[in-house]
Amino acid sequence: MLVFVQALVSGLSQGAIYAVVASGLALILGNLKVVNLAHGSFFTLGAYLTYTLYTTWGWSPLYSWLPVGGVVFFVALLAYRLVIGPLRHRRTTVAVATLGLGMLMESIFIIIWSPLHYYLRTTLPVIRVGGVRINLQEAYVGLIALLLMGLLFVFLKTRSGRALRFAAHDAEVAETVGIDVGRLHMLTFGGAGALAAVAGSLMAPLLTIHSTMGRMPMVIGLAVVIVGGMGNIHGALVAGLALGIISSLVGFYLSPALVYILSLAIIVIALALRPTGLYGALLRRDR
Amino acid sequence: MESTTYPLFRTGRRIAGTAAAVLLAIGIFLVPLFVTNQFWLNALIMANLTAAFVATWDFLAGPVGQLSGGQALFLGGAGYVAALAGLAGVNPWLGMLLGLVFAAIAGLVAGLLSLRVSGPFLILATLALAEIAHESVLAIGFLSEQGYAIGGEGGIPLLQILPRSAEGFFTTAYFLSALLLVGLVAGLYLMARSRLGLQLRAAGRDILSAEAAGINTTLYRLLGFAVAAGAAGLVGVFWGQYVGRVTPSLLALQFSFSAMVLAVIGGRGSIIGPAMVAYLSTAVFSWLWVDPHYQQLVYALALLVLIRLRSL
Repeated sequence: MLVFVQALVSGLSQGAIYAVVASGLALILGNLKVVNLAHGSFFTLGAYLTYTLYTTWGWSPLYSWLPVGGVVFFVALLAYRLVIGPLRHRRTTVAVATLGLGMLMESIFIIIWSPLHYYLRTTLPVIRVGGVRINLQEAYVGLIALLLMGLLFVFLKTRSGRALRFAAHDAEVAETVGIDVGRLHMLTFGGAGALAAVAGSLMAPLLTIHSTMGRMPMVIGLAVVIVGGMGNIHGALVAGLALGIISSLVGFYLSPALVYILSLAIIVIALALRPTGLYGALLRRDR
Repeated sequence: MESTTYPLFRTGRRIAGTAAAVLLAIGIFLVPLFVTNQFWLNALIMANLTAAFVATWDFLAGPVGQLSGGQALFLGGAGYVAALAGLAGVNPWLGMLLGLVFAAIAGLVAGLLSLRVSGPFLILATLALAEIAHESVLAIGFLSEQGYAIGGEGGIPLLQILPRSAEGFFTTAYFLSALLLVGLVAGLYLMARSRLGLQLRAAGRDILSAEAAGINTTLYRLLGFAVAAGAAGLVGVFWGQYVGRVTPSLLALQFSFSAMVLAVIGGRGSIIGPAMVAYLSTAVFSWLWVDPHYQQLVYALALLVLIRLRSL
């Protein structure tokens, strides 16, 4: 029973991270109408940068997610300018391009950081509260993630946030009322990349750092997005937390490998069963 | 994408083109006359197989008009089925057939998916299917009675019909792989250019018009997938037989990705172009002893640059 509570608590925190990752994907899917297959690589970049910042300058992973997020924001902007932006009207091509970008980043990681797997020490201890062991690092990560989600919700209510939602709903009309949709797309991509990197940075002490570490969070994020309703950020939070709990329980009672496979299966089944809907109608008319 | 060029339109070019293709095909078979070094034969066999694999992706992408992000599923999956059948004591020839059947069925599944899901989401769905297979074989491993590790990272051994220790193994394997390459590429190319190919293209690109013209698009779509997947499976079982082992790397994303990249570089849809590019790049990378990570870097960069420069 206690073990169940532990898994639950851990799952909530993991779920919050999945929600953050999923939000980035949801923003891109909702606005650019594209699946960003490079999202996982941005997550990985965040983790690698956090590692380097710690080993080179001793910056604590508790705080370094902030500068890491900032840096990766600009990296993502650059990637958008160079690779995605010029293509954004051809959705299939963009998907291939994001896949290419993701693979490119993975190979660059190996070249810069070598194929070695890295481990970052956690800074917060594991404590016992009435018989339940709580990993404070995990709890901290979960709290920051929830904070970020809260900030995201607040942002979506602001003027800029509403412009974003408007453009996601109908880009053409948004253009006519003066919203610079192209720039919006670029900033969205940057923001999503930053979110992924922050998630990666926060998780760095809790995971093994290697070049393909971002694939699983990305896949789980995609599953969350599909389940939570494509492009729906609120749905991403709820589905993220739910999936976090489920995956924690599955990972604990069954096997960690099963979590990845489960998310993949969710993606395939969900795509097969519900490709239609608001976004489905838009996506069917694919080039 | 309508820049598919079937390069043999006028009679003069047609004759020249066919002559060039035939010469190339003959050339491939003549290689063992000049190359006897085992390392090189192996590298070229790999080049043959990779080229055949890429051709199957391109058949799917071009004539059938569907982009698959998980072509490795058909290749590795067939190999694994053959290997597992061998473990169960099944005759290796039958095992190969089973592998082919698996690939065709998997192709049908992907084809069915493609009817529901299009474009980027199909890439994602096929990618996910391949990753499921990849993770599954990675995770499942056990020790045999003799104490050998089976499954997991090391993969599964295959009973080779022609054992590696046999006299002239590499030369024979080379001929067979060359036969596979030329046969497959020729077969797929001719199929693409035939009336069947036309119907496939119609079913893939514009369902409404095709249906109006009386083409059963569902049937042709599934057929196209089954052919492409089955062909990839054929390469896969051959690969398993040649190496003597199937490993998870045959199902890896890197593999599916490189097929995609090489096909795009070679000219998506033309089948012969991608095969040539795949052959050359595999051979060159072997020759230069390039680290697989750098290979991936080059592929990814080439893909991005090419996409920027021209439409897919």
